[in-house]
Amino acid sequence: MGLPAVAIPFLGKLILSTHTQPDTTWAGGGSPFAIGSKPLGMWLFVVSDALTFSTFLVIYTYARLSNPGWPSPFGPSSIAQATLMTFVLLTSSYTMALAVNAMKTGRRGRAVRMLLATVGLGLAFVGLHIAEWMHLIRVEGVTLAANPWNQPLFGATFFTLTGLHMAHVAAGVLYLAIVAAALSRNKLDAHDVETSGLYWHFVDLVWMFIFPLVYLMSAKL
Amino acid sequence: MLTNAAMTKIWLALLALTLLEVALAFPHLSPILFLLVLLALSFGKSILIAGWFMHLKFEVRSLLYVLLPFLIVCIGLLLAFLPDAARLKELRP
Repeated sequence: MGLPAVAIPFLGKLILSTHTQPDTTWAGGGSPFAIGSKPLGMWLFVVSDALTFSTFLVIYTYARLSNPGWPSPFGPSSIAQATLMTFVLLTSSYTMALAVNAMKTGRRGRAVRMLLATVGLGLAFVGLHIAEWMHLIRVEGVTLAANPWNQPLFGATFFTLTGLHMAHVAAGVLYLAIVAAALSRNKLDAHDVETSGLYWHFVDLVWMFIFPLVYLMSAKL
Repeated sequence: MLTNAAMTKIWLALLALTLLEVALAFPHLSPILFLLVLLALSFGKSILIAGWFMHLKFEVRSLLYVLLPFLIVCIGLLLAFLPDAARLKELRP
């Protein structure tokens, strides 16, 4: 008796009802979100990952607001480089959108070329970002725990936030390269390209907050 | 499905908004005003990316509702922690 006595008949009725009413949306007769399971899964991942990035952005902003004398280490050349990185990432989102469009209209070859262009731009972004990090580490003397401005939280929060984003871009480059390779062998379909596109656009979207909040707000112009 | 020409317009609009953000860094606005303007522009860019590049504008409304808890938590985090950060600054000797 107890919980099993109540739960088992309830679950039995639930399972039976889904089998006897397949036409209703919530009984499995349709898709409640009107998209495939793969894009829906990626949307749910995007929501959870957005929470992670939001937390890191709030941590950075908290550290910045609560510490007087927060450094402004980004001079004109750093801002120019970060702007170029933003342009590269936005352009990669554009080529990704073109790849999705090409696949939806059955142009597999063009989809592969656009995906490879996206991969190239993603690699360019990572390269520019590593160069920016090297400048900060070698020239400005910023590390995770110390910097010349005696604001140790700057390095910790900056490298964690931008490092997490760079890891996402690097993972995305690998993901898109695998999708492009599979497409060129006539594997995968338009849903798979659309799903990978959702991930890539999300990575781009996150940078649209990191660039102004981290770089422009600490610009030394 | 959006046409490639429409995608090109979205891309150019995103580049233009980025240039505007960078241009606004030069007049040395007050930090709070600069932050608010940058946040507004970033939200505008996010709407363009999520709405058009990610097709959210053309999906059913229920998918949009899935994203709302994230926005509520995000705004809640900001409202909870940022006033505390400002208070901490004032408490320093």
